[in-house]
Amino acid sequence: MMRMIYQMLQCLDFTFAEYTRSGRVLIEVAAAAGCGLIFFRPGAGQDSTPEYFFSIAGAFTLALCLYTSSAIFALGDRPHSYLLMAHGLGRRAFLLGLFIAIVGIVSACYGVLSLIIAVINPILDLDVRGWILGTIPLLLNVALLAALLTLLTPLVLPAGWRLVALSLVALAFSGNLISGPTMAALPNGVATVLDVVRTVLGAPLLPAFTGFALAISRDYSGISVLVAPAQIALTLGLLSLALNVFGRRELMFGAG
Amino acid sequence: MFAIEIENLHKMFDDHAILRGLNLRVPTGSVYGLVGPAAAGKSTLMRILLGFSHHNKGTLRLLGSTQLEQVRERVGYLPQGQPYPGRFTPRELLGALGRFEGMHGRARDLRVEEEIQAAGLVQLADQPIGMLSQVDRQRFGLAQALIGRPDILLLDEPVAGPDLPGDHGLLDLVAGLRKRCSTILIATQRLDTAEYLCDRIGILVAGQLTAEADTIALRGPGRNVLISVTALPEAVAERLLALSPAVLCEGNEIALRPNSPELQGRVLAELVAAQLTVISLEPFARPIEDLYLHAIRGLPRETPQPEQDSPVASPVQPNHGDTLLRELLKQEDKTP
Repeated sequence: MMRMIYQMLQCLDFTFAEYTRSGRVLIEVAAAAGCGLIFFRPGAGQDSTPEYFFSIAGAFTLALCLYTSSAIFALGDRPHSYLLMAHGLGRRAFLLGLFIAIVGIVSACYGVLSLIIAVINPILDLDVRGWILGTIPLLLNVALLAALLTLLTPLVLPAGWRLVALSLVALAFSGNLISGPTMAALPNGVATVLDVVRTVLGAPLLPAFTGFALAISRDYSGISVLVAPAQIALTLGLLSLALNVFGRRELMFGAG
Repeated sequence: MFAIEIENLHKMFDDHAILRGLNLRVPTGSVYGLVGPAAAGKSTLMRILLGFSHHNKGTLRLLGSTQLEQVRERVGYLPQGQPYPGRFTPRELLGALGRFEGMHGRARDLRVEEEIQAAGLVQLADQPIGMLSQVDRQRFGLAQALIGRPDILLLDEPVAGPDLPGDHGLLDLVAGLRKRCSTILIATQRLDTAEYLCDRIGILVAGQLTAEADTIALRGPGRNVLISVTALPEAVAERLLALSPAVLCEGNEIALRPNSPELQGRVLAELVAAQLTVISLEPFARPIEDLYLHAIRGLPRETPQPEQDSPVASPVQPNHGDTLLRELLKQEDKTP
């Protein structure tokens, strides 16, 4: 276990070094700065409330997570990864290293965004304690999305299984598209089945939605106290699945 | 004792059989060349040995153990295609790979410097790998393969690609590896490379080992030879041509087709008498080529044994340019 953690840290160090040298990290830093300047500059037309900050920051970090994941997995999905593995880097340490690199970069950019806002237009009524309370579910959501993307990367799931997983996610999210009049137009049986399927598939995504709401409200009373553990559990579940699949499959890194 | 033992190894990829009951034994302390055409299964075997792929059936033993995960850290690997991150310098990347191997601090730094020196990269150690020439990147490749002091070294096409300036230096570097690593398995499509570097070769065709031989037994003089001299005056050429219809002259080269110890002796005597300097005497269509051609065509052939009274030629370094005469000899000798 200790060896795996050591290797994972080495992989993280290597990935950070390569990512920084590639210059891609500048895009993320520029995006964070851009987001801060566009949405939070003085006189932007919005009150800088904590709710507004966490809404924008929550959406921004998730969007950034999509970009960073794609960049980091592209970095990992190259033939030089064979070299690292031939030198003793285990499969689990490799994948965890990439996952933590994504979460680390997005978290750092969130930190940059928060700092920029604190300098140019401090949020009213948001102290350090409030910032931490909102940041925890926000970053846990980033980790959750990163774990889902880790599972869905071509490194881990073959194309066929990826399509199946994406269709399940799409079905779970289909409530916004197929609802109200559309649902009413469907035969009763089909609508009921769809409702059940959505509920079953949507349940695992509940921590993500409630996590987003918790970041905005920062109200940990009642059942909300379970949101963060649920986010962590779902993240660990997705990661375990990804690690298990990656450990069993043929390593086929891209041509670079 | 065998460093690598493979029994009845099968590997399927989708519905396509890559390895079909491969049996292979590489003795500890030997340099073994796995030769075969593209898609014969050489790289797949390397991938399985390294744990990148899983085999479907069969037994694998590395250093006497079937617990491959435990012994893989004693295996070094030179990958095909030089997949090294170009933004790192050789010193940085060797250091990073040393950390993956579990080396720390001063001991790791010393190992890195040792390998940089051994690979002849002292002047280039702080330049980005992406800026290095192909040959220097391959030198780096050998350095990284050795950083963990492996007991088994797997080299996938160590001398690949077109003729390169400095290629012979690289060959010598690879040849020198036997002093530093006890067992080496080389996968290559190049017969000359295998003959030059290996103690024993196996021909892999369609996932099966179809022939095996000791290279010393394959270093016979062959049917035809080509003698190169610094200059061949017309008068000497005429005297040589008069010796036998088997003698051909072109430019500064003399072909003996077919060769015989007697004819070779007479030709060399003429050259010595004329005070000409012989640059090289090379065999053509060497037994190794014969073995290879028979193996890939599926024809039976006896494994050659070294003859007691015939001299064993030194291996010829590959990558010499071909003249018209060489081309003619090659074409003729490759015709079964």
